[in-house]
Amino acid sequence: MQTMYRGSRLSLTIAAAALLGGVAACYSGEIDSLGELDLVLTFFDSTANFESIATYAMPDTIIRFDGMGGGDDEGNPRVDPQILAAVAAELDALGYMRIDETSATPPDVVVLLMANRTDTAYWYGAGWWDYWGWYPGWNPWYPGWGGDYYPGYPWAPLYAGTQSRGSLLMTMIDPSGATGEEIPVIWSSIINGLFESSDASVLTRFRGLIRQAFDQSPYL
Amino acid sequence: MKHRQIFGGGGVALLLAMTFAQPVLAQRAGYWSWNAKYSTVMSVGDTKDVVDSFSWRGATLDIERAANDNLTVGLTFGWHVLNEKGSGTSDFEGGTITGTAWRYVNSAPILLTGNLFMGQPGGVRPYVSVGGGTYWIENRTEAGVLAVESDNWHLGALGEFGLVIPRPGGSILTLSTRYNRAFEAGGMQHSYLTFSLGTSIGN
Repeated sequence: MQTMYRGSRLSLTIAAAALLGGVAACYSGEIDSLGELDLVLTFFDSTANFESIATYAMPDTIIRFDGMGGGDDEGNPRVDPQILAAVAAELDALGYMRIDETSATPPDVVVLLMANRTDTAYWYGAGWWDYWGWYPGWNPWYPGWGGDYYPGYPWAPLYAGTQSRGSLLMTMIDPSGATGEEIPVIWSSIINGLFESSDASVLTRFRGLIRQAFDQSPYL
Repeated sequence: MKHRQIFGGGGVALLLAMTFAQPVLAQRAGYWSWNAKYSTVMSVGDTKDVVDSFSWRGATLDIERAANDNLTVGLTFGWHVLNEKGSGTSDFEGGTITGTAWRYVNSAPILLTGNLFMGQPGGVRPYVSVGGGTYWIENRTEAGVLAVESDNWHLGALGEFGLVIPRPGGSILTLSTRYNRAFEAGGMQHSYLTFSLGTSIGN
């Protein structure tokens, strides 16, 4: 009987191990740091002539974006200026010269920054152009542009547009290529990460992610 | 989570069955046997291109009926998991992505098997098995807070060799290596090995 008991106990042990092995299955990946949730996606129009870009303009605001429903300009004064500065530094490092709306000559490209505050949205065809109606650069450079104008991504794969809470969207448009009310986007980046932790920590991570977006876009 | 619940229910049933089953020697004509195995999993071939991994997460259940002293036929079920975590930059048409990705392959085989035992009943016996049936396989990639997932039912086949080792008290230990092959479905095909330690109880 003792032998029988030992045999049954061994069977139960192995059965329990099989059970535990299965219960531990499915999605067991561990996240060791917030940084592991960061993602940098960049897309570009392969027909664009990036070598011809010499000047850019960039509004001094990061628009908060809530997907299809509209946006507002309520930003984070502790973070937004430094994010804008980090992007400007990368563009300057490319040799692009920044001009403002007082310049008589329109820029070659306009870089727009947006951050989302919703869980999921799509920037592709999202119709967020009217968020930028306040920007002084549209007039006198592009008189007549209004809320009906929109950025076009005819080259973008449809799956490119997923956003989640904590996304920074950088969009480079080519105003000279506007056809009708569509202004072509020639480069875009979605930096995806969680806005958790302190402002300083978020800034450090996002500076690195912004640098990565430009590093992985050697055609700029 | 749904998968865990499904397996969890099956696992409890298995545990109860093994608790109350009378341990006797199987492999006699007409006898049924249950073989519960803890399985480790290793990707090979096409699967290795997706997830290059050795995993400790797997379980297999074989239910067999002996046709004679040397031949059993039955069904095999299982849950086999492969996962890999990697960081890097990848280009795709029109863009580039950088981040940390977690890739998972979850496989649930359901196959008919035939098992041929060598040696004498009551002793240590090597055996070989072949099987055919289906594999439900889910492929999932998580990157950042995004995830891409697909699942397919594949036709599949297996080949296995192993040892059955009688234990005092009538139970049987099994050691086995199984090659699992899931043929192309949904643009994916998979192959992987399982290395299993099990216990067999008949009644």
